[in-house]
Amino acid sequence: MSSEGYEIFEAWLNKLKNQIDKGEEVTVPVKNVDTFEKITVRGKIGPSKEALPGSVPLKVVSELGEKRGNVFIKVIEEMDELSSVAVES
Amino acid sequence: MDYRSYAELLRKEGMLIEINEEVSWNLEAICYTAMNYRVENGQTAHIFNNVKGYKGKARLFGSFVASPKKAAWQKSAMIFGLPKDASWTTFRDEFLRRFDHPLKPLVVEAGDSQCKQHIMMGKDVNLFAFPWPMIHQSDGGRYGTIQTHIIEDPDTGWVNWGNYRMMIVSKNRMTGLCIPVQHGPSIFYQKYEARNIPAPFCYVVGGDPIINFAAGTNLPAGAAEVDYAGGFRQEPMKLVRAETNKLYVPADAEIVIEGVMMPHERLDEGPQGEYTGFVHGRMPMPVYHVHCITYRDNPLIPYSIGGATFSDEQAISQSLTPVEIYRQLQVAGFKAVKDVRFLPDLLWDGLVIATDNPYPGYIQELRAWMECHKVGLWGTQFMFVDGDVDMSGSDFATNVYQEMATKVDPKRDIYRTDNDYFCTPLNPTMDERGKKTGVGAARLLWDCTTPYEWSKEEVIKPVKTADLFSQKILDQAKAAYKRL
Repeated sequence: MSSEGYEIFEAWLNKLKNQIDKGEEVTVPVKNVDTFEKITVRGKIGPSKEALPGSVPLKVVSELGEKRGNVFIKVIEEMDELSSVAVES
Repeated sequence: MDYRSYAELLRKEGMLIEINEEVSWNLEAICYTAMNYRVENGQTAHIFNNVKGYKGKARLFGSFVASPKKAAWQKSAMIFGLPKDASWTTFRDEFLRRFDHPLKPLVVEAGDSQCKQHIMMGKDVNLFAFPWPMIHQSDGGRYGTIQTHIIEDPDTGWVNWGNYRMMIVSKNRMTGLCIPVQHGPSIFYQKYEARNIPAPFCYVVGGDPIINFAAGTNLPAGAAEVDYAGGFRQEPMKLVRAETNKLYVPADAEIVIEGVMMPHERLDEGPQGEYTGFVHGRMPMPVYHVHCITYRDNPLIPYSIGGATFSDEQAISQSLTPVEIYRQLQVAGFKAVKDVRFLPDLLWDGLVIATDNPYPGYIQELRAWMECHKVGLWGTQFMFVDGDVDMSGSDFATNVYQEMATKVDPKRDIYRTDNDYFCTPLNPTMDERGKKTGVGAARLLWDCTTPYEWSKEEVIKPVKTADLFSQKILDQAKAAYKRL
């Protein structure tokens, strides 16, 4: 697990917006901002640390890598990064 | 020559700085290199001996071929064994001479190869054991940017060596940009994928730096880049068989990454700041599964900062590609062509061809060839100037702009073609379709040459200093100037 947090493409959040808004678990590809390793994680995403205790920052970036904002993610499981292949990118 | 002996050569010439203070692979080393490009104009190279978390394990090698903008070929000439002050024409002509004498490589035993000093195999493989740099803040990951990708054509057995960037995904996986029409990771990989079988690859860091030039050439199908590397060096490359596949790799490589590209797998690659000066967004690209890494003690990892002025990849392309285009034009029979250069700071989109204009329609023939040939496919704008325009001097760009400003008739001399040509998807002008397929580029060609009829009918006469004054007046003025 990353202590500094993760990074995600905005497109993934847009795609899973309904599930995230309902507080459901989602599986998403992210980048560990400590090592820059790309992994897939299963977890919950929320707007703030208070709304999602035990969460870490999730930096949101555009397709060109521009910062779009921050949300938070509580990681339940780190998975093999190729799991994202199963999820349409 | 390998990267280490080349570094020694730079040191002897006073062109190498070793940095022993701790720096991070995460943008910090890159920032230093960018400053070097800007402040020192790429004059020196630098080796970071103390990369945070990697001291004694691996080093970063910056500005290894970047050179002053006005002599972009300086370190390239040194890699070719020429003096650092070799002129453009000396470098170009020597390059051309060696191009015609490729040499087959020699195979050596594993025990005679430096690249197998250490071996990581299977579960022990860890790409993060090396300080691949984070180059731009917005990049999708850590990148290898100056390396050689080796893969075999499953149909013919032809082995292609090419320079392709690679993004580190995890301990044992990478992904890389695969541009349509390029042989290795695109055309060959697609052949394996169509058969639903893995494509064995080797990814080489280091070895003889001249490999980076051979792997960057647009050779015809079937020609082996490794033979040209031997020709450029004037001695055969020494190769050793990889540990996990039948490919051969440079015996003196710093790092060799071996594995397979699995069919029908894709991972996000990018974004990455590119040589065009623009960021190329993320795209799904094939996945490289790493099975083995062999490496030397404390390996050197070179890198380039795409989009920076004036980067290592620009220096290689500025030195290599114009010469290659010049050669291809000579082979095609365009003997009136005198020189080819890229404008400083630009690559294919600043291609300038200096040519005589021996008969009406010659420029049009040249234009048609450039539009269709592989070496002309990477840019969207070409300029043709007169053969007597000096392209060898450090300020040749000024001469080109002058020709452009004074000899181009906007009605007659600017050609736009909308023929859906191939161009690199990295070109920022490509639309969405073009970014995926590489197809859809138009071309703009500037004919800045003296119109054929001008020279024959003496329609206009250029002002030349020798015509303005008699020799007597010139001598008097010179004497007076000295007195004053």
